[in-house]
Amino acid sequence: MIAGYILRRLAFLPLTLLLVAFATFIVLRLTGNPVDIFLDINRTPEQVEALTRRLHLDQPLPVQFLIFLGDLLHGDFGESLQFNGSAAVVVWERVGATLQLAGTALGLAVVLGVLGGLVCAVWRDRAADAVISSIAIAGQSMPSFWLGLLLIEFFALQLRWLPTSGYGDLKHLVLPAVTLATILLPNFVLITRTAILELMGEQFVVTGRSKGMSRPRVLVTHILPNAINPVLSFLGIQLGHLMAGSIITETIFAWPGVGRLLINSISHRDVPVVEAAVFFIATAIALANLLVDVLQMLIDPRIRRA
Amino acid sequence: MKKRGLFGERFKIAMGGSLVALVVLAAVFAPLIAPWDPYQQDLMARLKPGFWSPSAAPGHLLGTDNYGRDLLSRLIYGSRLSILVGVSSMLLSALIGSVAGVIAGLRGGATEQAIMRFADAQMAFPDILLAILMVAALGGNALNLILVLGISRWMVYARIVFGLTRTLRQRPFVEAATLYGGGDGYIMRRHILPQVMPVLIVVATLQVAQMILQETALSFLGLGIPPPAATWGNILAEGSTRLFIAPWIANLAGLAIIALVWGVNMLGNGLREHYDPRMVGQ
Repeated sequence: MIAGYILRRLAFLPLTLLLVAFATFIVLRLTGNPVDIFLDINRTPEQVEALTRRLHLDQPLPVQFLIFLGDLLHGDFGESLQFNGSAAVVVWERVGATLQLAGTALGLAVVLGVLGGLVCAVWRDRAADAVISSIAIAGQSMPSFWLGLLLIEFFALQLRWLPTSGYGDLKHLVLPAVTLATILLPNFVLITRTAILELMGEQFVVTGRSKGMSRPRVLVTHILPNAINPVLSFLGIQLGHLMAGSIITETIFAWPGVGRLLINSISHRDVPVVEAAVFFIATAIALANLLVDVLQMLIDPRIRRA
Repeated sequence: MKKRGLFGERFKIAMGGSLVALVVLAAVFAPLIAPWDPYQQDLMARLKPGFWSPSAAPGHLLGTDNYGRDLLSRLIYGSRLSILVGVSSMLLSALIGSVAGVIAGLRGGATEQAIMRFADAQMAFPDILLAILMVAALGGNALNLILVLGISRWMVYARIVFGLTRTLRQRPFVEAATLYGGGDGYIMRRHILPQVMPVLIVVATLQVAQMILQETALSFLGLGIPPPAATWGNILAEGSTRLFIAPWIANLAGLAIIALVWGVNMLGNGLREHYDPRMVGQ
């Protein structure tokens, strides 16, 4: 039955990706002639002609879209204009760095966020809750790029503990991962707090307490297992946020991931790489959302029955 | 109901409201307040620190940037673009979103499916990615930023308004209006909008904060209004390349951003508690 659900969801995946392909195509092709966007003022007529043919711009639009889709099925986004080699390979080479950064940050945000939210909910309206909740709300107002800069100023320039930017050993990962985690952290604290507070009013919790179970025991056996799902579904919503934050964080710390490649390719007018990067990010989010949904089904029998 | 949390709603509205009012006043009266022309360069007084340092340049309260431009004046003028882009894009997305939401809620059926499934699909696509793509294609200026940010967030309003409209549609006064021959436009203006207004105001206020953050993020990525325009994102981006010699540039721009965004968030949260105490804690 779970297998059936996964298959049904997988069947919808191409539809989502088709939408993404369509959106990418429209935004990049219809908002202006790509030749104007991706070639600068000093272009020669030969360059214009070459790029026009390379991007199939001499064909009618529907044909262009079909060619684009056909190439896409083969994983072919064309050759990068900026690097040697195919755009798909250029993007693929950066995927590891992005996954490393995003994975570490997400792990940090989930663990610390859930712990923080738990503390807030258990000691509701006490000092700990007031302090953590206020910091979380203030954190939602913090521009992530400024936070990254502050961390660089303090830990890299003042204390000289960590490198300012770049890629390499674990030391290079600390500041970017902390920055990206802090972008997500406030949301996880507040959502966990709300989820647990809501569960505390549920009848099965009240029943557990009135049967004489201790508070910690009810928390572990009744509340926490039920809090996993709201937090998971929120995690699914936050994946887009995570990728957006990753683009900014990678740019601040010169982290060689897909996000920085995307920004770089835009300023270098490298259409095929931009398309490949956008498509990769959208696919990753769609797949991760699918994973979250399946996990929720495995955890909660009520969703399986619905 | 007991007021929860550290501060009550009145404190939040007063505190957030005055912060926002302060920035808005500075933006409106920028030519009167700003001590210098924000674009006037003085290459003899480059990267001078402000009043906190003994080597401060006279007359430059918050110091100068890499071209010797007065930082305080640039920050004051920068508030204009942040507020303009933040508020206009919020208005645009609120307009698109509420109209789409009401139509989906009133019509139902295939119209509803088309609008709401489209909203879902766009929801799954990171808004900053869409904004980056569109700005890259259209070019960065204030009008394009407003358009791009407006389009990237309409679903937030569409979903909320749709949900409310669907429940309102079944209420007797809407059914009566339909029976009397009221059209969609009339029902929307007369019966639906007044009902969803409080929620819309709260969501819109909180969205202004998001829009301002998005605008500064795009500027920081080099996709906003291009330099030398005095925007907070540009000042922060320029400062970020000189963190070691002139950290105050990036930090003061960051402080300006967080002050305005925090003020807007406080105001929005205060309004939310004011309109609907049940929403507290969500």
